[in-house]
Amino acid sequence: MPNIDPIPLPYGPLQYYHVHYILQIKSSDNDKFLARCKPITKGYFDSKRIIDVRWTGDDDFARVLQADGTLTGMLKEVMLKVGEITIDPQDDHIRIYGRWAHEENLAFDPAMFEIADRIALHIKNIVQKKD
Amino acid sequence: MRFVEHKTTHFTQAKSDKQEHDHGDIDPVIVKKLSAHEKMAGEMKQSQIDCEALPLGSHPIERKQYYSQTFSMSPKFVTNKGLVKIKGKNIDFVQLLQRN
Repeated sequence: MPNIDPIPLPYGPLQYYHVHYILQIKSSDNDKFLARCKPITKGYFDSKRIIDVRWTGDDDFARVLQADGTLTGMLKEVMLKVGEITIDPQDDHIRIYGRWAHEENLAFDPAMFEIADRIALHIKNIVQKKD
Repeated sequence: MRFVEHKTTHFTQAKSDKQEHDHGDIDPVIVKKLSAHEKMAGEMKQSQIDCEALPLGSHPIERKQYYSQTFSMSPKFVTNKGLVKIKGKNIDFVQLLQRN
């Protein structure tokens, strides 16, 4: 039974958390690592299932991620729960995150960690090739 | 003497201090409150991931922007809840943010 505050404060932090997986990498092309993954689903409610995933964003980077069959297989297993995965580049690091999680559901997700780790591997490979 | 360790169920009720209550004949109870990122680091260690929860605000990455604002619906106001350093993986850090 969730512990819901009967008189919530009208201000201050909400009960929602974001887990960011950060890859510390600095390159001239950091802004190219911009992508978002959304599931392609079939069916509704209990019969809803993921048949594929679609990467959008920077063309080259999205193509590399879409071509990775292992990554797609891992994503199919977690996308119903995670919803979407965003890769958000900054000047000296790249952030990978899913959706906001309520305080009650906040826990470490090993599957999501493996996905973020594999995406980070692709980013490192692309940067190494360019250097 | 018996020690019982209780962990808080809420991430928000977290502070890294220990409180010990001793009531004569009653066994002492040690309440260990964990911050959100410390609890996450503990869960990661259970999954065989080598990691370390850094002190809050100790890393420069915590004082930079958390979102590039390239995507729509990116939040403007968030609270940093801590950083976990990952060792031996492609990912370097895991950061917890709370929505405002």
